This record gives sequence, structure tokens and C-alpha cells, in this order.
Amino acid sequence: MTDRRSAFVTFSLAITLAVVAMSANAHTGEGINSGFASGFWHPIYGWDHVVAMVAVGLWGAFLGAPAIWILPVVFPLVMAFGGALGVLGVPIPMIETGIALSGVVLGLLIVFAVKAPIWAAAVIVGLFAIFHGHAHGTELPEAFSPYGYAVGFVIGTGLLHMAGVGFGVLTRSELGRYAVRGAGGVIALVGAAFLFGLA
Amino acid sequence: MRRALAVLAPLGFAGPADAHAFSAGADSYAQFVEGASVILIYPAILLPILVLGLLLSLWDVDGLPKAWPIFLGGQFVGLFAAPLVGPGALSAFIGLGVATAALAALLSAIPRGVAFGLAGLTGMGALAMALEGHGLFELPTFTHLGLLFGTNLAAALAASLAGLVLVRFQADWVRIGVRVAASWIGAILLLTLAFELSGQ
Repeated sequence: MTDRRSAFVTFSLAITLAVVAMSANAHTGEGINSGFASGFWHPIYGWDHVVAMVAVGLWGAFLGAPAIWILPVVFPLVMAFGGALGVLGVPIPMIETGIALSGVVLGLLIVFAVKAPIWAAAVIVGLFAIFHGHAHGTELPEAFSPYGYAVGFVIGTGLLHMAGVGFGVLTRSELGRYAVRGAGGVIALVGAAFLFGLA
Repeated sequence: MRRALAVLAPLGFAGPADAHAFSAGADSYAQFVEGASVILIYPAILLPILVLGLLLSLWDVDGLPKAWPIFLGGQFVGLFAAPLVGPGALSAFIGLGVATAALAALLSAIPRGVAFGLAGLTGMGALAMALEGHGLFELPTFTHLGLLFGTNLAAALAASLAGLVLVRFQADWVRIGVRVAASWIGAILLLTLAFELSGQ
């Protein structure tokens, strides 16, 4: 049954690629490639975004199942909602403050190993996700492919979560728990630096 | 390995696709490829179908075969309904994709009625959106066949990939991975909806 599935997947993939294949126009600096790259690097080049997204994965790993996967599932969906509000021009007050505060709050939650109920964790993460998403949505470069930007943006964010979850696996050992809590402290400090205009 | 190479070799000779202009001319194969390309190239049509495939495999590892009659029925309704859809219908279809993604990502057990209902609606919406207001016999038959082929291929690919990993690696993290994938597609669709509404 599994072999038949494998063969079907291979065949379906080959047919799909053959049907959608287009002329190769690589390295033109335009279109979906640039849009993807722009969206992908956007969350990664901003330290305020990086620390918050890694913190989501870290805190999820610290809280254990089911938070370890619910938080990384909730964050992209709610962040995209915030991004949609940004694209549509719906104003949200104190975006930069909210983004900086997300690093501080999530960092401190990790430092103190706060075991919040899953609904509370999802609300906290979701609230901050709207600020991050809105910032990405309003900063969408008009020259680039919006679809490529959306795909790159979501994948870049997701990979940062994965990095956090991967590092969070260290919480299985006593020494690792200290390392993760220390990382939470660094995240809180970076957030504070942005909050007080030092970064 | 040889079989895989033999299957993949034609990719090197694949030509450019000029989808959604419906200008392939009298060449039947070109019409067919053009129809399939409309489904497979446009994210606003493709992504809701892909996420339906994921949802059906999360519901049941043989979810797509079980829901296929309803999915096909929806597609045939979509063929007839295409001339009736208005300009805002694409946004509604993307919204359906977002809802499908959210349900796939967040529900630990998906009710059968929800799976069947989404299969029918997505099938109908995909064909109605792809035809962009064209009537049933306004376009060549092979374009219609291409549209049907592309729709079912996309759903089968997503469902069989998800089904394959769910069957082969029977672990909690695999199921979580499929749900995370649904969440990411949902996030991309949400942004796509915003682009559609803002005219970008």
C-alpha cells in the first residue's frame, strides 16, 4: 500500500512539474523570486522579529505538548491576519512598542519558566503576532510579487519557530533548561533595547 | 532510480505555460495543458485545493478516495455555475481556503460532514473561479478536461503526500507537521486574500 502511494506521489509530482514548467528566467531580480527573497529575509533581518519568533518556539518547547505545536500553528495564522490588516491599511496603534514588548514578555516568560494554560499562551502569542504581522504587511515592497512575498514571509517565520523549537529540545536536560532560560533572558534584553530605543 | 529518471526526463523538454488567457488555439494538447495550468499556477486557486487534500488526509488516511465523489460532483456544479459568479467570488473562495486551513490546523478530529462539505465547496469553487465567467461550451472541451485534471491532480498530490507520511511514519510529530503545513498555507492564503481585496 505504501509502495503504491510512493509510486503515485512520484508520478503525480512529475506530471505536476511538467505541466507547470515555464521558461527559466533566473537572476532577473524581478517577480516571484525577489518577492520570495524579500518576504523570506524580512523577518530574519530584523532582530526584534527574530527574538520574538524564536521565543515562541522556545516557550512552546518549555510548555511541552500540546503547546509545542499549538503555538507555532497559531502564530503564523494570526500573524498573517495582522499582515492582512497591514496590507489593507487598517491602522493599529503602537506597533513598534508592541513588537518590542513581545520580546520582553516572551523572554521573561521563558526566564521564569511560566507554565501558562494553553489558552492563555495562545492568546499572548496571538496578540503579539498581530503586531509583527501588521509591520510586515505595511512594509510590503510594492515592486515585488506579493504572492512570492507572502510565501517567503510565512516560510521565514516558520523556520524561526522551528529554530526555537529545536533549541527548546534542550529543556529535556537540567543543564539545557538553564541554557534555554538564559536564552530567554537574552531575548528579554534585546526586546528591552528596542523598547527603550537603544537598538 | 531508472524509473524515476524516466518519469522526470520529460521535464527537461517542457515548454512555457501561458495560463488563464485561454489562448492556446486549436491544438488539443495545448488546450488541455492550458486548462491544467490555470489550476496549478494561480496560488489563489491552487492553495485551497492543496489544503483540502491535507485536511482530507488528516480526517482519514483514505480521505480523498472517500470524498472524491463529492469533490467531483462539486467540480461539475462549478462548471455550470461559472457564468453566474461575480467579481467578489474569488475572495470568497480564498476565504474558504483559509477556513479549511484553520480547521485542518486546529481541529484534532475532523467531522466527516465537515470534510465532505469542504470537498464539495472547494471542487465547485475551484472550477467556477478557474473559468472566470466562461460558459460551459464557450471554451474548448480539452480546456475543460485540463481544468478537471489539474484540480484533481492538485488534490491527489497533496492528499497522497500527506497520506504517505502519515502511514509511513506513524508518530505524533508527523501529524503535527501536516497540521503546521496547513497552518502555513492558511497564512499564505490570508495574505493572498488581503492582496486580492487591496487590488495588489
